Amino acid sequence: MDYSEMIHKDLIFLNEDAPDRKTLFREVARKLKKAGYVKDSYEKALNLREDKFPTGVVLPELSAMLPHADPVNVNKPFLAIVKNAQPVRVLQMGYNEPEDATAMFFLGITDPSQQVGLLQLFMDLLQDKAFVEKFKSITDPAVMYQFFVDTFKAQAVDK
Amino acid sequence: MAKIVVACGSGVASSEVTASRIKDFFDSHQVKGVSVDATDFKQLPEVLHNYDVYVWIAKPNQQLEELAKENHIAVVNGMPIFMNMNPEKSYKQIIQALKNMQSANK
Repeated sequence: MDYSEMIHKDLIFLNEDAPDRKTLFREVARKLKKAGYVKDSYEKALNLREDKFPTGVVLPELSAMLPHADPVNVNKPFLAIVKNAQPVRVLQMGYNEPEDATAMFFLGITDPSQQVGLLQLFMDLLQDKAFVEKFKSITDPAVMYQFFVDTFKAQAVDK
Repeated sequence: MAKIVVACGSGVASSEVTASRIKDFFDSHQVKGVSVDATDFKQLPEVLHNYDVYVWIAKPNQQLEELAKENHIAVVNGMPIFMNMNPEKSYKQIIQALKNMQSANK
């Protein structure tokens, strides 16, 4: 399946500088809302879910998080790509141990059965050294957009 | 038929990924007759007793741990499978639990 359609040019935020998770969520939720991807309920749902079930993941090359709210709060599927200048203290999925994340991938899931493959593919990519190095080096949103679309398209052809 | 349940916070993402990885693992290792379901924390206390193995993505609370113990359900950490980081240990635990079941039934 080709997940490149979930990457959107207007959902790549590489210059965030929030001091903490809640501020970051507020900023990103505001932008997602403005662009029509999520409902009014999204920010609250996102925070509630993160408090209860954290989404931080510590990978060998990257400390990231994958915030997501229940599908009912999402209008259209997306993967928003976010870099925050300062590390944000979050908790790790499964273990609830602290982690300082600098990369955030907000998943907008509307239909789990359709989009779950994206998360699986994405977890594998985040452990691919070449992918992560390239991701870290890119500062231009247009370049990031193309990088993700090309990567996802190539993966879709492979499978 | 042996039954495995994978549970995360909402059942929309990480439990589905992990369930799908476990199914792939069984396919590629010719393990047959095992069903793998994904669910969320809300449903879990009601359905857990139907299963033989509980794979967690969100850490089980005390209630769930006790429930698993009472019903003799094996509890396995699913995070390594979800992240695909050194998942061998978790797969081994799942296989071991299935083997234990088999020998208990004989």
